[in-house]
Amino acid sequence: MLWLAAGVSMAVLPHMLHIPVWSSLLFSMLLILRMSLDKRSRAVAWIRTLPFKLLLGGVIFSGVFVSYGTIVGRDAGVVLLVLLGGMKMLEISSERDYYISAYIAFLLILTNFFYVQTLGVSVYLGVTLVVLIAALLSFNDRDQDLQIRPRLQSAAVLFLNALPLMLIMFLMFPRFNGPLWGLPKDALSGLTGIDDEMSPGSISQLILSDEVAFRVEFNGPIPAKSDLYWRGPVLWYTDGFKWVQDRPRKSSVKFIPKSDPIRYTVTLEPTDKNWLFALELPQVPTADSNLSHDMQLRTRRPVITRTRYEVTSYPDYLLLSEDRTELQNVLQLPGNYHQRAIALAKSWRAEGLNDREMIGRAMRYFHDEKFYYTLTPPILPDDTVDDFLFDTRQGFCEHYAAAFTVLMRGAGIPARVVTGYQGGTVNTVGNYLVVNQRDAHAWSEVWLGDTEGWVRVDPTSAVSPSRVSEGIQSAIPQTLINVPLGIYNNAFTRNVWERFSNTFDAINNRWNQWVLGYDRNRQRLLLGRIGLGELNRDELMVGMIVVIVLCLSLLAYGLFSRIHKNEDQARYWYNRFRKRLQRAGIPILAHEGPQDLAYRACRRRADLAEAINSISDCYIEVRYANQAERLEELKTLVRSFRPGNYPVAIQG
Amino acid sequence: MNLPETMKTGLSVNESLARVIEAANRIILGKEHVVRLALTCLIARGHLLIEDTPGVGKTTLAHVLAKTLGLSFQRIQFTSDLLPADILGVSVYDRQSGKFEFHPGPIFSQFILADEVNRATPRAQSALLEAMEENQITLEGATRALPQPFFVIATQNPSSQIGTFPLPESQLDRFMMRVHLGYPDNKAERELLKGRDRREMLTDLPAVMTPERLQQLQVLAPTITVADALLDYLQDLLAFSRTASAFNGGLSPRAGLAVMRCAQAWSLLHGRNHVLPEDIQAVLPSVVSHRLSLTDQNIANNPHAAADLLIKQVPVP
Repeated sequence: MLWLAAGVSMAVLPHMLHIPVWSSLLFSMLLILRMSLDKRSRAVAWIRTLPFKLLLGGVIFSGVFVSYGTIVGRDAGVVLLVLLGGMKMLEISSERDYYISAYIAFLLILTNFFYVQTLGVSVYLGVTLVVLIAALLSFNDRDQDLQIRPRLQSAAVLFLNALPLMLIMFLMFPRFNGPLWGLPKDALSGLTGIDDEMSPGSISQLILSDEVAFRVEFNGPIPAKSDLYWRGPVLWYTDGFKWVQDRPRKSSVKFIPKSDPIRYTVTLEPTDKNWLFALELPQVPTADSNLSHDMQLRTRRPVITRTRYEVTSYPDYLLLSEDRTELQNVLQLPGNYHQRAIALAKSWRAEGLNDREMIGRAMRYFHDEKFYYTLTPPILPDDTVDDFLFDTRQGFCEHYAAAFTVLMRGAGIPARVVTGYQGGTVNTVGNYLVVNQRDAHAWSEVWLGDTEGWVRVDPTSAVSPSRVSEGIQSAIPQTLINVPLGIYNNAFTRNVWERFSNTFDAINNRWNQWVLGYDRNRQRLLLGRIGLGELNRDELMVGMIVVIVLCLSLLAYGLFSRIHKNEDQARYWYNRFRKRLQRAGIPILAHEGPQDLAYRACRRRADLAEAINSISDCYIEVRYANQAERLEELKTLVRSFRPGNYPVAIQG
Repeated sequence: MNLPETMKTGLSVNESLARVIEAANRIILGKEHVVRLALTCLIARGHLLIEDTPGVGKTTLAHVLAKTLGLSFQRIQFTSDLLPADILGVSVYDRQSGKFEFHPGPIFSQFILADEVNRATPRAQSALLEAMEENQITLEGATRALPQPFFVIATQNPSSQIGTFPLPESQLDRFMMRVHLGYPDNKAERELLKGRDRREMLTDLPAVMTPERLQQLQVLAPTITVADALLDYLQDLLAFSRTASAFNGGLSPRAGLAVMRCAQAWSLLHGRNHVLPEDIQAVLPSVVSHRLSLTDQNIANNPHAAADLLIKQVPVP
């Protein structure tokens, strides 16, 4: 009972992080009640009455309904399962109840994967599984004479025995594009990441998250950090407060690569958005995506699972817009806003500066005036650009990108805001790049005529050059980054910490790539290597069943191969002989030796005496006189021994 | 039957043993099983304890065996005033040589009949039992080997009879077998009553085997094949005796070894070169019944109840 309670608690524990507090409390209460009550006490008898059960069930269902507004769906369903599992624990009185409780716990283990699928949780749930198996073992260990260690050991052995089967199912179970079952809509709520619009504060919020946005494996060396601009949504229009995208259109741009390509593979965490990230600028769209007219990699369906894609990018390029209306569109300014900024830009233009000099002038303005790069800029109540440019002068990348773009447009230069990520952290253990949410960034793109095309300008670099060259960690206070306090003060602890977190992320990455990211393509690839690549779903299913059956037969053969040793095979054949004798009306006594049996059998069935004696003699030779070579003879003799059936024992 | 060709001394093993048994059967009527058991014990180099009421032929059995096997025979009648020296012998000062000279006691024979062993004091019993165990005696600092083969048949009156010092369990363990003669059946008794005087017949009895031949058999017996399957059975039996609640205490490893040796000798006696479960079952009652005590007092008086229980409860694997 203790084992089962431990297993169930372990299975429920991770759920407690997200189920309502009242249900956690109720579950704990049910469990404690169960463990503390004496089995035969009156309280238990009372608990097991139908009205109480109905009452408790009613409370649970109505509680779930109040909390979620429904009793179906992932979250409500899990809470129901947890609480009804707790109730079942309370009413355990028979063997059957015990098994049901154990299987509910197995199901609870499974439901944890609806929420998290990380390596750590998987290992934890594996341990839980072992504890539950041990609970089943202890239930079947009537004498309770197993110590804790051997019990856990045999549970672990059972668990390990099942691993090959699990592996086969994992490798061969047909994969679907997308999740296996339709996850309810709430499954992807709370995802952080670059949005399709930008307003002051929208990116600085992301900086606080240390979640991984995506990981990149480069085919060659990892480029310098300052070159790593991961292009996300391109924002065209502003209403004075927020910036939004253009409607997706067919590409009307001319893209001329001017440098060697960089090839790399990105593993994007789910974003629930329709775009992918790529280094500026990508050329060849991958299978499931296409390039939009502003060089965004867009997907047809939102990215709701971890996605792996290969991209080729050219850091040096010439990007030309063919469509002149597009260039008109990126001059758009909101009606009554940003007047001072436009005036400033016009005053610079009046100095006779050309487009390129205008950029330098604006950058110098950010650099020379007292601008600050800060995560916690003051609120800009009236005009997000004017107030920032002339009054507060404290802002984050989105402020600079927006203000710069407005300045350019004010001067009649086509410009737009690009959002995405900049930089990333090299994981030296796995030799790949990790881009976190805190690497989120915004910059500008300016049109410099048909000779230079679209040029990237990062106004943040004028204020905080280290943001671009060193990464976000150098530009913002460390306390905002989620590391244990004080670790960065000491070179040694910093090294250890970085090594540790790098290793952890590298392991996680492998887990993501090979376990969670094992999709249809990977499956096809892997099975292709053993020549099974072109199986469709049904064939895969049949194949899996065949392999499993094969495996089980091997296992069974292994178990029964003990009787395939000569001596025991003799026993096997002799037992067949005894069964036939028994059917022929000669009762078999377990303690009787072969000679005595033969003597008795011969007396009863004198007609069979010859056969009986020769089989007995042969068996004795094989089994007791180490004459294994007569085994075949014994087999033949037993096979041909057909005394027939006598339903009623003949009286001897 | 393929016995090793080590015994090219005229008669085959089967034949010579058969002649011993036949000779004994002529004098001790209707007790062939006991005769075979006694011979088994002898071949297995054990010692035999015969427990029965007086007058059923215990002594006669000993005489017959000694005679047919051609062994030097001594009878020691145990009484309550018997001393160890009466068994082992004494050193007497010889005036002519000026030395102590050892006068060996009756123990220095190949075949000892220790009659009514439970009438003597424990001291005298111990002297005999130690000699049985060691096959030698140590007296006044000198170790003297006993003649070979050395075989003791001790007879014992049931402990219910008066004036006895019952052998403790540890000393009972020194006997490989304990057998009961029991009363002869109707037909055998009739023959006994009608027939010649047994004593007379004994004196006429020729030796049908030599001590050397017996020693060869003793060497041969442990080479009889005991298959693994049979050891499984034996170990099952031992394990059952140790775990079953029907018994007060289990069989010792020495008891297990004794069962195996006796089973080997038994199968040799029956002309086989491998041991069968039936051999174990045949010797088991005699080998284990004096070493096992039953918890159930109702059936404890039946001398073979313990062995029967063992045999019935343990399946032959």
